[in-house]
Amino acid sequence: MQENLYDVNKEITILDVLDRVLTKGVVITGDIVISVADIDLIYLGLRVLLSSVETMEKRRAVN
Amino acid sequence: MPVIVYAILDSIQINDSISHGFDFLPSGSTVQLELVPSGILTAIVSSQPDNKLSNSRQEVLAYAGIVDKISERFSILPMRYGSVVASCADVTALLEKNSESFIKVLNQIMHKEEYSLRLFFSHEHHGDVVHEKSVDVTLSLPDILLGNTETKNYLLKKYQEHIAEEKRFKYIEKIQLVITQDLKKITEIVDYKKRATSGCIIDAVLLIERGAKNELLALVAEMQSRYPEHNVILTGPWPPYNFAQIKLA
Amino acid sequence: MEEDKILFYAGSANEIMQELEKINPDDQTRINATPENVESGLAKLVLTLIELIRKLMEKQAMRRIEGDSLTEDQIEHLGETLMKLENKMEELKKIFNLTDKDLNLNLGPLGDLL
Repeated sequence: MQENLYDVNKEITILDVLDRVLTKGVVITGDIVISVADIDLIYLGLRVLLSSVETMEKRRAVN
Repeated sequence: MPVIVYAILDSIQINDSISHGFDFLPSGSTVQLELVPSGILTAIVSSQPDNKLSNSRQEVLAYAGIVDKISERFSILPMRYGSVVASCADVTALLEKNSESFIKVLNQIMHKEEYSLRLFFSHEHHGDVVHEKSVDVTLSLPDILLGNTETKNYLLKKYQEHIAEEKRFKYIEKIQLVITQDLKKITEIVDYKKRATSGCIIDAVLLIERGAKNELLALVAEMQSRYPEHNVILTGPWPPYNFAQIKLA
Repeated sequence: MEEDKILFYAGSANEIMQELEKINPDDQTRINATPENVESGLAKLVLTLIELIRKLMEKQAMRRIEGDSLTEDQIEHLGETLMKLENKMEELKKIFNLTDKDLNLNLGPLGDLL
């Protein structure tokens, strides 16, 4: 029981962490990759490799 | 070589404590942090040789853990997960180009920490607020809806739902007002998120001075005793993610 | 993240967790078109917009009723239309195998769409 409570607490923390680190904070949006069906078709600049769009991708995978 | 950026801070903080090295990483972490200075700003990065970030929850949490540790020690602008930059030179360019906005926001968060404050309807009491007085809802029903036809009954049901919802919104507004007043004692920097779910009364993030944690705790305890029928939850301290939402071009 | 960051809470942790999950929904909202899911992805987008408009209509209708400005005929007509609309929506959701939760786009700082 105690352990179960601990797990839930940890899980609550994790939800809060993920929300922050995946959707908040400083974002680099200098470059955009537009993809269809996971095939990247259009690159606008290549200096910054990942953008928030890709973060969304990660987020999906994380969940 | 591509690098992943964890945080941005002013170089002064780093210079003051550089002698201590990066001994604050989570135990067992194999990450090698590096500093990329650019004038008055410095970025904390680690190399990301294959430039592919892992999707795993573990990786994301490990990243967040490092940002957290850095934030314990310095006032930083935390980066969102996924901030991989092609090279250290590009990081430098990024810092230079955006130094103005970085410094502005850094000043706002200096010596402060973020907390999340939420107030939920508890399932037990949720009905009280919304349905308790539904009796008087029936009393004030528009005459036009009385008549017991299929359409009218349908509209009546919708109307009652509508009234209940309006009532809940009013109730939430009232509580928000009180809590806003409360929090003003500690900080002016509060961001109320729009209630996204029916169970949530308040979903706020706030920024307080690093030393003010106990004051906040006392305030929250007081809040809970004022609203025993709801559940208050406070999490933190967090790096100021919600107050560093800068988009870089 | 090793330690937990909960400084204070009342009520059951499980309950709070459920609420948190609602606030931070997983990424149901991204519409990623692939040959396999392009149909349901588009259906989701379209139905979400229709549902938004339907809800707005409903809300507006309630305001009009509140304002007591509708005639008997108008009320009948309105009720019937809203009822049909809702039934139609249910049908469409079934066809495309979507639930209410699917039809709620998260608009970031604006909160959920519905």
